[in-house]
Amino acid sequence: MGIKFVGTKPLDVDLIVEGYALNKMGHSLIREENRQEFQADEDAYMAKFGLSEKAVAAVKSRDRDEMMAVGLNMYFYGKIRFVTGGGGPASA
Amino acid sequence: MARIVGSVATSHTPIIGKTIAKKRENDPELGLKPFFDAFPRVREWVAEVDPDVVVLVYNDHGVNFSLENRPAFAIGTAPTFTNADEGNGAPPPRTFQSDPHLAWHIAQSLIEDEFDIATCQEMAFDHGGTTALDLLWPDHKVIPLIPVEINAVQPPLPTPRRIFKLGQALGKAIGSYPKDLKVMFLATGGLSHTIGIGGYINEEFDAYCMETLANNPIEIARFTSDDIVANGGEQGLEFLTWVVARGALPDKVDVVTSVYHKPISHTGGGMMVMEAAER
Ligand SMILES: [Fe+2]
Repeated sequence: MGIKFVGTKPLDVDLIVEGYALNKMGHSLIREENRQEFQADEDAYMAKFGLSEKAVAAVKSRDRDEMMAVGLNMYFYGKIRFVTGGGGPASA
Repeated sequence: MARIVGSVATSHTPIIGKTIAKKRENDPELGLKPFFDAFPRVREWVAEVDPDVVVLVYNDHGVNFSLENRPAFAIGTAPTFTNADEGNGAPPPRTFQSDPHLAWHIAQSLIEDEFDIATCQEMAFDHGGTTALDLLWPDHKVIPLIPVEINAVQPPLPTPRRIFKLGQALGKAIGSYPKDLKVMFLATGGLSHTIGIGGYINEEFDAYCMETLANNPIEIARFTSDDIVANGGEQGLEFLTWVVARGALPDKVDVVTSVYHKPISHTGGGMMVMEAAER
């Protein structure tokens, strides 16, 4: 099935560390002004949060698995999906 | 003395709240009628037991808590709470009343009981909190509520055993409150699902969880979080909110009513009402 819950046994610290900026950016998208800022200039917004090159590429891929591979936590995925035009609820 | 009248546990998904808001519960296109049809009985039971306060056990969805600071357990101790924009637009603003005296009593009692719960004097609910309230009070006339939040987001996660014990400690806390209050638990989360993977529903596991939670909750407490993820998907962990609400009740319970319906969007949808068994 390939299910990987970020950080369950064994705790994947590298992934937690790598994913932090991406998840922090995801959380920021609960504010309308931040969603607008992201949509106006995605690259600048990602730079503001210090996303790694890999994380930027993952967000641009719009692919859930690619984002998870750089540490995206599921609960922040929907917020990024929403702001990148993927539709669906922002969380579930 | 305060006493617990019983526990309601239900799944939540954004679609449930939206369906209620649009009054589309019977819409065949949505296929959710069997789920919603189970709730008049729940509301009837709530009217019968007539609670004064609800302890709302939910999990945040990366809204009230970011990863900057992620407590294992948190209790809302404010006089009021609000709903939140969870990333797809601000909902019409709502304010929920609480009972801060009871909330602080619970916090104090839990800490004396060695549960070092975080206290929150501001808290905003995503659909995880509001969906269950809308199912019970579709007219939004919600009675005062005290939110208890458990971490289902960022590991390391509290163990199912610890979560069951949290429920027991909450039961004890309420039992030691000097005011005559009837307290109901309302748990919201699960059942099996994984965000972003449609169809990851394990009906057999969901049925097992519901039955075992009612009749032999210790067996659920023996799971690891990984066991739950392996069987019920990553967000299947939200079922642990139910375990809190069960832990607050005595060893023997009666199931007043229950329903299981799938899928509710990408989730195995369950509801169960439990109360102390007649002796
Ligand atoms: Fe959820």
